[in-house]
Amino acid sequence: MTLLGGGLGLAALLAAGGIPLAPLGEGPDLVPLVPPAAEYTLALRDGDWRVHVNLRPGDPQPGAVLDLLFDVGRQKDAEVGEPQPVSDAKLMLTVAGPGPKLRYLVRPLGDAGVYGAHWTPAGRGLWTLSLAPYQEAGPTVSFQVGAGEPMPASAQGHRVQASRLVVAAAGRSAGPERTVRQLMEDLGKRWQKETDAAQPDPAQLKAMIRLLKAVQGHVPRAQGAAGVEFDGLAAGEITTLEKGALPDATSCLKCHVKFRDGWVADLSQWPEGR
Amino acid sequence: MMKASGLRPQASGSGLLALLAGWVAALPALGGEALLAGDARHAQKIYRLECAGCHGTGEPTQLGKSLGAPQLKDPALISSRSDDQLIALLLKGTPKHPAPGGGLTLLDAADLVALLRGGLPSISDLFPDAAAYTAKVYPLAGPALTRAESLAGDELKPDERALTVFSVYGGDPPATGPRLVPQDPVQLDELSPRSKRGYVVFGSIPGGAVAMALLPDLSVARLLSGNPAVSKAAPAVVGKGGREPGRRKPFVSKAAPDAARALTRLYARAAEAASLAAREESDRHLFDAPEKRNSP
Repeated sequence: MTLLGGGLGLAALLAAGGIPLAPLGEGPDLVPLVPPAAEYTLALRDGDWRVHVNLRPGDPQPGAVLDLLFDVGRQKDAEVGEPQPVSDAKLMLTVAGPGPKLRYLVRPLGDAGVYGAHWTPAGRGLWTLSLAPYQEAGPTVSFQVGAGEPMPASAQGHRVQASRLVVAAAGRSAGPERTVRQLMEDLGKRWQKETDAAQPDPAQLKAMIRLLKAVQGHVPRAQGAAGVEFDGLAAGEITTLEKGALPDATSCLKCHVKFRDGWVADLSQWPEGR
Repeated sequence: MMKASGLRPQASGSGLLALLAGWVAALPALGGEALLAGDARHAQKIYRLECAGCHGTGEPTQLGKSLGAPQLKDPALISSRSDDQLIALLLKGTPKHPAPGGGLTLLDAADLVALLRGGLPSISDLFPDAAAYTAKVYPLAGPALTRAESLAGDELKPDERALTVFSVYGGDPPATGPRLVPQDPVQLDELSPRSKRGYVVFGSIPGGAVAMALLPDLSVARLLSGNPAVSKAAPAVVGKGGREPGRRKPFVSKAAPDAARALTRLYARAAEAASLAAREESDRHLFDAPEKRNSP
């Protein structure tokens, strides 16, 4: 049977009511067949210096922060052995491209030889990033990054996909139950995305309602006695979302200052805290 | 002298940065730019989520005021803290300022530092060859207060009776910007009076805030402000004043009389506070060899 024939056959079957269509809310989440690359990595060298660059996410977009990790090592013998991590380098990152040329301080992170910086591409296009020492010895390497467009072909770089691809998930995920912190992080990201948008996306609002309902009943242990208040605050946000609006920052803060940060013990005088 | 220029690179963007940058939009680009502490563009999102609830976007919110949150667009507050101090405050918190509960990473905190510094005048804007500086609040009392009030022509309000003085020392400017030297006797002793460039104070006058640089002889070296009246009054202010109280006269400007009066008031406080800083420094180096002690 040809593809066209198969399509017609399916349409006929649907028209006859042979396959029941699940309501939208119950359906599987839509997952792109090829998700965006989680990382992009480059292996660069400058003399006996070795720099392993890791960009997250792997598909940089203008206006979205990019996590840059540099694993810096030095290979004394160019033929054998592993590069030795260098932890005391003073490094800077120069960014040049469609936007203004900027220089960032690259900070040593926890692990030996690992440095990092954040960078948000100001515009779409090809950017040149250069890592160099601003003091003392260090590697001088540069590479190109495409923001909002494909990464340039490079012998040193490659995209890293997630190790496990989920093509489609039927119903709810069978993963472990998420903690309140994870739920709230997800909620925060969605809230931030929607506040940037001109019009809230109803699907996102619905997802946020689901997250808030999952949080209800899980008051932090330290404020266990205030469970009713905690659930009430979540219910207030749910009501706002159900009306198709996005909760304002102050209403989020009301819960955060007491239940997340513990800065305020009494919210009765809100918006003043005690 | 005060040529207008655009915002510094990290101040490009919107939201808080634009608000913070409001009064320094006319900052002259003087020295080479120091390395950016982080990605201010990314920090705008973090600020909105973690900080704006108390510190607000212009001034502290009602909640912030009730918790004693300071105004973050205060250059004296930000310049008197090093990047490392600000990062530690954001990551670990203090009894007065608990760490935000969202779980910031080191790079997030560095981004916030870049945002806080962006759009505010820095020490290197006023002294491009600054390599190190100290910051200390000097309360004005007794004869110093009397002299300051006499020059200002009016009684100083209680909140005007203390001023943060930044003592600036020259040298090779580090790539990361001038180093804030803590009030530690050993580290202070290493600062040579010969490399002294002057003093910086920050104040507010009607219509905007102002940064004033003084030379070691306490004459006014430079003014920075987004307030156009300050530019008009600058010829009547820059180069005036001095160490001897007799040399300190009220600034008179026909072009901007109100700004000149307000700058006189700020200078009256600055000169007295800087004199106290100079006296402390001279006491520190009292037993140094004369060639080390003398100012250039």
